[in-house]
Amino acid sequence: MTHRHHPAAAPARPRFLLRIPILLLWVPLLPLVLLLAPLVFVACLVMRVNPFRGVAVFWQFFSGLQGLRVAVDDPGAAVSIRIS
Amino acid sequence: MNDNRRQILDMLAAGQISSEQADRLIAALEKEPSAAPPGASAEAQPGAQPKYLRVVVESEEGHHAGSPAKVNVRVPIQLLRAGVQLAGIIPPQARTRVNAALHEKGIEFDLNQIKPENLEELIYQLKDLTVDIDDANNKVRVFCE
Repeated sequence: MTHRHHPAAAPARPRFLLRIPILLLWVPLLPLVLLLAPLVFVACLVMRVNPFRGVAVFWQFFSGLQGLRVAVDDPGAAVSIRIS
Repeated sequence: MNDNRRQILDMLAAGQISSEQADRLIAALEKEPSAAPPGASAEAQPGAQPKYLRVVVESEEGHHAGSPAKVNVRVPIQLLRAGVQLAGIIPPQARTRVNAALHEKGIEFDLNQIKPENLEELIYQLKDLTVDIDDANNKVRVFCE
C-alpha cells in the first residue's frame, strides 16, 4: 500500500495516490478471516445460505476488486485510488 | 508479424504476386484494425467480452475558472459478476425487505430478477453500451472497454 504526496508537481494542489495491491490486503485480513470463519459458517446456516457458496462469492468479490480505479481530479486536490 | 502478412510476403517471394499487389494487400490488412469499434484493441476477438465498466464525469459546476473537476471510475466486470452472485445468495426474507424498501423510495426494482443465469448475456450486451450525457456544465460518459 503506497501513499504519495507530490508537493513539487503542484504546490497549491495536493495529489494523493493510493495504490493497494490485493495480495497485501490478504496479509492483515487472513487472521481475521480465520477468526470469523466459524461465526460466518453458523450465520450462513441460520440464514439458510450454503456457506461454501457464500465463501466462493466473497472470494470472487475480493478477486474482482483487482483493477478497480477511482480517480477524482479537482482544481483543489487530486485523489487516485487503485487496487492492483 | 502476423500470419496474413507472412503469407503475402511468401507469395511475393514465390513470385505468385507482384510487389504492387503485395503492397495493396498489406495496406488492406493495415486498414482492418481501424474498422474495429473504438476502444477495441487490434488483438481483440470479435466476440471478446468487455473487461471494465468506465464512468467518466466532467463537471464545471461550482468552478469560477480553471479546469473542470473530473471523476474517472473503472470497475472490473468481474466485480459486477461477483455483485450479481452476491445478490443471488441474499436470503429470500431479506430480499423481500429490500424490495419493499426500494418500492417505498419509488424505485420499482425486483432483486429476484437478478439471476446469475442471465449474467453472461447481460455482460455480453454491456459491450455495446455507451451512455453520453452532455449538458452545459456537466458531461457524463458510461461505457465498457
